[in-house]
Amino acid sequence: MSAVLVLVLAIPALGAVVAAALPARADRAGRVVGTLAAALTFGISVPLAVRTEPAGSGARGIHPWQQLDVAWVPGLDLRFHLGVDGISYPLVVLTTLLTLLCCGYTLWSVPGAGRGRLLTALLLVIEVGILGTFLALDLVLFFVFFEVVLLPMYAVIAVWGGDRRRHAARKFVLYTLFGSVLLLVGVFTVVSTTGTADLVRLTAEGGSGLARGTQLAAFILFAVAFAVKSPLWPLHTWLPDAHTEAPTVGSVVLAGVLLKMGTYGLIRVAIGVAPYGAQRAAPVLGILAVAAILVGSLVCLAQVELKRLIAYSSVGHMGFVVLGIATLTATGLQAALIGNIAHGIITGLLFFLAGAVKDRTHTGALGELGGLRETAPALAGVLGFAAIASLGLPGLAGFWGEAFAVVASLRLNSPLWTVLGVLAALGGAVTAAYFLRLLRRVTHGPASPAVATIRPRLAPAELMSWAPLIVLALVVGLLPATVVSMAARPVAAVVSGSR
Amino acid sequence: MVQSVDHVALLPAYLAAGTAVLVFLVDLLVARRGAVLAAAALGVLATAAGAFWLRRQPDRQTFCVAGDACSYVVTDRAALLAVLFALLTLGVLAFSAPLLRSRAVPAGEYCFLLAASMTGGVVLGFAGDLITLIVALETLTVPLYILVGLRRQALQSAEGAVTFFVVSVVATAVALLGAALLYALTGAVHLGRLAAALTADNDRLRSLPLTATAVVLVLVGLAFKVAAVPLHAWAPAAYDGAPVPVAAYLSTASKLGGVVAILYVAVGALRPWLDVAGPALALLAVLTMTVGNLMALRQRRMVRLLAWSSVAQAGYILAPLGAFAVSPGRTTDALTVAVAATVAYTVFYVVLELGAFGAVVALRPADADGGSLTDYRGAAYRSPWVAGAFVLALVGLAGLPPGLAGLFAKVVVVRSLLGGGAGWLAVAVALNAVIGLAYYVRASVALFGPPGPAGRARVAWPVAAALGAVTLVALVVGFAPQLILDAAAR
Amino acid sequence: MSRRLYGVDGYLGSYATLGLLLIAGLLFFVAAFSANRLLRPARPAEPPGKRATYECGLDPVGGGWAQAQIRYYVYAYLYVLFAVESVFLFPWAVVYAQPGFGTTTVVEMAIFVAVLALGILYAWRKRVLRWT
Repeated sequence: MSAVLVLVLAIPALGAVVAAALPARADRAGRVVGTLAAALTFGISVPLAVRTEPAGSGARGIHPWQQLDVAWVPGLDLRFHLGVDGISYPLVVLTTLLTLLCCGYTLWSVPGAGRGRLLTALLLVIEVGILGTFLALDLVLFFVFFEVVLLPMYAVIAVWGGDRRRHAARKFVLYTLFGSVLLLVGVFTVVSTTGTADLVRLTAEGGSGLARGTQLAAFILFAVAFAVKSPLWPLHTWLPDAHTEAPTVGSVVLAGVLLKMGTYGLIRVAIGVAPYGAQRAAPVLGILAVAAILVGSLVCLAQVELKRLIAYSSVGHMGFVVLGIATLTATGLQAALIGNIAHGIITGLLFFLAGAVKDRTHTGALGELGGLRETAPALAGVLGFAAIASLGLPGLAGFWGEAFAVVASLRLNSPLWTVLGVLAALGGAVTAAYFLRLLRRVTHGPASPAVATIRPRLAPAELMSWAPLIVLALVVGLLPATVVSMAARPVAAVVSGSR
Repeated sequence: MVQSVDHVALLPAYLAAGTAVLVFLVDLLVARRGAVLAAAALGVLATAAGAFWLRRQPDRQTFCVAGDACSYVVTDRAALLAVLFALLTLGVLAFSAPLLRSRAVPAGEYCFLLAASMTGGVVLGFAGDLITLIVALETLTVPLYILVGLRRQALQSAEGAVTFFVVSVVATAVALLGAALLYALTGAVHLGRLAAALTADNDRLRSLPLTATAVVLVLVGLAFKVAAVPLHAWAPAAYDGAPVPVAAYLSTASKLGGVVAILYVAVGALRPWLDVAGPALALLAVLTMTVGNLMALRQRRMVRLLAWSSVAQAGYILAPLGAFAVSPGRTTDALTVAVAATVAYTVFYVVLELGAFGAVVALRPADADGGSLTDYRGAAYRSPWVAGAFVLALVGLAGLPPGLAGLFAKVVVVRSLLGGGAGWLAVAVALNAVIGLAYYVRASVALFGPPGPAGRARVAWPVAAALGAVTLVALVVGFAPQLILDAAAR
Repeated sequence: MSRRLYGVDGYLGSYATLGLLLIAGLLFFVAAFSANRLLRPARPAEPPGKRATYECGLDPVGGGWAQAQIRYYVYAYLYVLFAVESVFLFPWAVVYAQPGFGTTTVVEMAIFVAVLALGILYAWRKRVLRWT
């Protein structure tokens, strides 16, 4: 019995309602309430690591540390079944942390359209959706939470976004809805065949209740659904627009955790429920992932806009994550998990920084930026740190995910996977190239007119929201075992029988 | 001989018809708007209460021939339907209050016609034979011809009424022709007897092309009421021309009537022929949702957009029946699932649609039509609560959280489709949901545009109360959809 | 059976003669008009007044659409009301006195007539019955 699991969802929901219901003149109070709710959620999400359920036997399946199982809609096989384990826990904490940072950032600075309390409320609703997705142990519940984030994110982009926000928001919502309706079809393909939506049971059975053809069909449906969300090439085209147009906090949440719903779903749902289908489709997934890495990094080389460049870099990074998943080995999945976390931390930080640069210079064009270290050395320093972390320097968070995805791929010892691994490594090199290019354009050289007049000082709120991410990038980079040890057993339990 | 009639079973019908007569007399003798509205509301409430009371009684039947075939059958589900019709009418009455106060339409006639239409709806659920069914459906529809045309100053109103009338008459003739052919072939009009005759005489009837013709004619004629393709084109014109509350009634009560009629006929009478009618139904469902959604994408006027969207929704409603029919192992269990899915989806849809139209009523001036999307600019700032309810309803119709009711409605349909093995239908429904979202979002975003010239108008209390109640119901069934699923499965 | 029904000498076959006659008539008609159209000179003139309702005689007064008084329509409607009612009244009048019917039958017809009478009441209250 875990009331904490419910509280983790209830507190942000309640905070959102209160923040949104406050009148316009109490805007600041609304933001404070929202931030407090986010802080409280973060506070109680950390102790989720305490194990209350008996330790699993290590057999195939999900062995949650804590869980809660209540009937909700028996007519739809929908149970309110939540649980947390080593795969979901790091993502849950990352979500609560990033939401807290974003809410705190909103306390300090509200994007142009104003009404910061509503923005805070929407961020909290998005948090509920994401946390619910990570915690759900029921397929239908997973789907319901998967859908919850759609419209709030739409509103965040469409109201507080940049010039082409309407277009970007509509593209985002239609693409992701396309993904989630396929998820719905996939979910009920599985549920109507097996008669249960319990992820624990379905994973333990390892698809034995499903015919091979059904498994393949279900996996393809799941994979397309999650590929839209992750996003995987060629379904990624919504992402650059959405990231570029979204306000800073929107980009941070979007890149930091929303994309993780896709890769998490791939591990938990797609591989867990349809392992045979995963085996059959793995090469295709791997090829697409490598294509994403190469396309993402090559496009980045030619980008001239700061946020768009970071957005496209996400395509490449998530390609590494998907490559790790596609290997279907313990190493690969571990790499994917740590890559997820690292990408969440680093790209979150990068979007915060891009937002800071754009706020100061009012431009994101690389051609108009330059010499940032002359006028704002601190900002330039942090940007340099984040860029280097993102390109995968050993010792920083970005390294482990990419390196071990490649290692896992090479270890499979088949010609296809060797080629994929080598190509991915090449893509990693191009990643380094474009991040260095970014640094050269933005921080080095003489100060451009747009940069020359900016205020150099960093606001305390900015430092407060960046510092945890900087620290985490170091911690995960130096002590990857913090994430890996947690995930070792659950990953082993998923992989056993998959390959 | 005088037939023995079970008057207790007929209580809801008496109450509904009595409401119409009462409203009529009050209008003629008292001639005050408030009194007329109060009488109508009272009568409608009494009808609901009577039907609800009847639900708790053991099943009854009357107007029986030779003991077993009855024209009027009281079941749990029928009584619930009667309650639902009465409550929908009550909601529409509440939405009509500002319209009646603005004197744009005559109050007495308006309420009388609405009550008369409700009588048809109340009787419809109890129908046990094709004739009662069609007469009840016509009683439901005929007053609507006049109601649609009641905005006498507006040309679109007359156009809508004429379109509605002509198409409706053709559809009724088609359905009647089908019923007559069925009678000629089987000698039965009672739903149960028809099914029995179709089963018993299967070989001979299968070899006659006339039987297939009759089945198709009946179903196509009834599909008119739910505004399914190919008899869908009346809906936008009629909805847009009608006073907005009447459009609300058309898209909820009238559509519910069509669904009930199709279910009764397809499942009760034509069950042995579903394997023939089924693929046609499935095709109609896909066409209906696709055409509705694609046309709705292009609309600039709010009510027309809602009208086309309700055409699309009719497609989702019909889909489970079609799926049942095309699925390989057709068992009675599977049929129950399909019927329950259809009923559940319809109820979810009706609640959300009523909410959407209620919000349109609340946001527009009393005597105006639905207006174009740009007329709603700034509504979110002028009246945030109403706009909130509107957005909730629209998002629910699109099938997304926070409109959980709509989300579960889609889930019900997709689940029944995949359970019936009709994967392609499920994919069609899913992809249509994506198209649907595009225009539902457009309609919702319109509310948040820069404020237009229109000032803040006070929302009349009956409208506010009804809208609040409907929204509350939508929220409650969103979080506890099992309530609807249980009621639908009976 | 089908031979007897559909054959030339069968039941339906005797209609063949009629059909042929009809076709011949149609052809004659079409041929005559086509010939007329081909042979006649076509020099349409547009003298003033050609398109008026009457080309000769008196000039028309007013439009081509004559309005009938709406009251006739209302009265016709009221008449229909009672015409339909009487269709049910006659058979009822034949049987109601017979054994087995009695009071129930009278009450039922009273309700029926009362409902129809509401129509009169409506017409009266809405001042339709007054001619001026």
